Amino acid sequence: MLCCGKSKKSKDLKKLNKISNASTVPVSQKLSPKGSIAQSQKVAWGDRKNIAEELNVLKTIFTYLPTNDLLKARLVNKIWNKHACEVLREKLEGVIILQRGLEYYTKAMSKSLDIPVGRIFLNILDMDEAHAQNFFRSIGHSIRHLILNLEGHSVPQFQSHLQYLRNLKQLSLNLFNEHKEESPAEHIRRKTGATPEVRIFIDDYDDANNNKLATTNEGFHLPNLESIIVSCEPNWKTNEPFLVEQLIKASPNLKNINLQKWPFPLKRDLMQRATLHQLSFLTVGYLEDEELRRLAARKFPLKSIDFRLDYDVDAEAFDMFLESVSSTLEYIRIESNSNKNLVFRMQTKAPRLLIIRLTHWVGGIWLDTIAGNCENLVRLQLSNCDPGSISLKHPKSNSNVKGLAVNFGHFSTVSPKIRSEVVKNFIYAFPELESFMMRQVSDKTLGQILDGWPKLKTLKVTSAFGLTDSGLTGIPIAELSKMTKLEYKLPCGCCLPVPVVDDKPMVDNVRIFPHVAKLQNLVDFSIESEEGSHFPLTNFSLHLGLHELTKLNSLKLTCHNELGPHWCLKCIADNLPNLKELTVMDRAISHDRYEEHEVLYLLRKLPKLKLNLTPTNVDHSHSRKLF
Amino acid sequence: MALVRVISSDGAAFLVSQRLAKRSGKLKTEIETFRKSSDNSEAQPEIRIVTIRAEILRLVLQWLQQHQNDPVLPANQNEQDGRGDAEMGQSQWDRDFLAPMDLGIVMELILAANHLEVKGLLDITCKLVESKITGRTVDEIRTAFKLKSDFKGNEEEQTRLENRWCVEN
Repeated sequence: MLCCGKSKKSKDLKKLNKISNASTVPVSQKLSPKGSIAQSQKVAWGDRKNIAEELNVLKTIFTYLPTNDLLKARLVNKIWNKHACEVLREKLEGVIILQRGLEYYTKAMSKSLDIPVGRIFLNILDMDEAHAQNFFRSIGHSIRHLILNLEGHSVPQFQSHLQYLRNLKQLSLNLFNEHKEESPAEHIRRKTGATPEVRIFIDDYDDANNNKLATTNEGFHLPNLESIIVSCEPNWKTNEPFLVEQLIKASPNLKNINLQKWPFPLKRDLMQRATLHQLSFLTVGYLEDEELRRLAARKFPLKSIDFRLDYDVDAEAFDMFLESVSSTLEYIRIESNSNKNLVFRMQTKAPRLLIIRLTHWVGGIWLDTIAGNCENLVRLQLSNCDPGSISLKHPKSNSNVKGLAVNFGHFSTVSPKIRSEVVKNFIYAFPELESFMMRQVSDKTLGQILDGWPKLKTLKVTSAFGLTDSGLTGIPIAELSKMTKLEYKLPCGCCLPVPVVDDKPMVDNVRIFPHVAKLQNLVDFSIESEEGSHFPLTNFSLHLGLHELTKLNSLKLTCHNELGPHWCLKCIADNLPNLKELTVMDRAISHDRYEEHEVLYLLRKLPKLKLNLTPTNVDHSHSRKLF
Repeated sequence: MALVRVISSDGAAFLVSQRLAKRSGKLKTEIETFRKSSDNSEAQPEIRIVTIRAEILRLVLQWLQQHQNDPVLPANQNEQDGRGDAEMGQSQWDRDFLAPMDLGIVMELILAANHLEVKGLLDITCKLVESKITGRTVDEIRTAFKLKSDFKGNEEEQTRLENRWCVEN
């Protein structure tokens, strides 16, 4: 192989001798700005293995190359191939491999060293195929993160490949039904509506099938596996519940178990028997009383829990569980939609708890225990909960809580008195709130919010019938409108029903309730009409209330069913200089109700505005998304 | 002005200001080690760089001198893909500086910049080599780097096939 610049070697040496003769060479004098450059005498590219390998210079350079050029570099010579392969492996953080690419990928990767492969997304239809087996056998040991889509019949094969994945850290498995021709029997079953054939969990490990599985997978051990996420279609036919149980049993260092979309019950004492010293994140579909008690007994250092409680869970078991994890917990999401006897109460200190989400909670909630024991809580979400069961037994407050989202769901029809009492309790318990979301807000509730949380930055509410312009403006507009003599005409053409003295509107004189301008820090405001109800507000709210919110960045006015008001875009353009996003949704926009000159005026005044003038599709999930 | 003697593998000594020398991570560490071990705070540190010959060391110091007022790039900058913001630091002077060098010298300079922990120089030299690879055919790369293929039999074809999982056609 050639060595660059060999011919100049003697010349170089002479030059070097000259330099080395001088005992001290002050750099400022000796360094010419563009000195004559000697030719290299020592090193050639990829030729001197010792230097190139020792210092990984080629590797450093290759990290600068895009993938296509890296693949080309592989073809230059063997050393380049070796280094390029190493860099390739590190660079390929996310690879999507389909069945047909499996063979080539396996060969490419098996040539290089044991450098971990980043994230691999595999879609294998037929795990029986030789390429799939070869893939796991050859490079399984270097895979750290695997996302695998599998068809049902491939599960047993995958189980036999698990032994090759000994360095796996994260595993995401998505299991699908086989897309094969239906047998006549299945066809009939489907037609007749009979339940699909699902091999439900077998409670006895000594069962003949289990023995078979146990022997085929003997010695399989995943010491590095930290996270498993398994999901499958609910009517999966060739279900292998043991897959998850085997994974848990073989992985003593699991930190994250996510079985949210795993519809099968796990073996009852699995959690108790498995060696899970580090389990921190637990997400499961639902937990029964017995499982909850076992979890409580194990005292896992759980940081995050996410599950639904079964109807049979006893209040005492739930308290025990919360107490056992309260010292480590950071995040809670729990649903309990059938047991009214359960109470959510933090009886012991939970110093690390940041977020509580009770997304469907029909039982009681003791706000004072949350405020008192969750010192660092920043966000609380209560959905579909009964306002009558939310109580503040002792006066406790927590100034750290910045976000609260409340939705009374089916309980929205409770008396205004109870609602008012609950909002009062919220204000007492969490006085420094910056973000508040609530469904079905009335004028009175809004008044409480405006008085109670003047520091709010985000306010998102929906309304049914109880909210009017008066709630936002603090002015009894309906009454004033009846007095025809009171009217002030604005330059934009809108009229305000307020007294006029010396051609000036006397607004403050008629304001008798708290109004929205109290929220001087508000940057994000959203109001949405519930489906099936009128949009309650008109331009009066803009001209007499919202126009004073000069810090507003985002304004959303969403109407689902009816024609919304024709909002005065000029008022928005002239009064809200910081607005960056405006969403006006109602069913009339598609008919070009807004004239071009109005929109242009708005965009000229606010050139950076992101404007969404959208016709509303009736989207049932939309109002839910708000919470 | 505090000075430091930097001596190349072939015995040539360069007298440079400590301020300049400290722009190299390696020299900075060496100077600090010398200070700690020396009783005389006035003594002039002497650092031997056994892996870099005089000609290359001269180039590194020359580059450092030109860039002595630049902000020091953190060594782990943009670590994810291994590159710093080479374009940003590359001036006309840098281009003139690198222009007369053949790839062998550039290679030595990369080794030296890597050893002496001079992130800016490492960036521009790697970038230069990268530009000699990007967009060229395999044969052109071999010519530019004066390399020969050492694949035997159908090994090259095999490698080409292996690339197919990622390359179109």
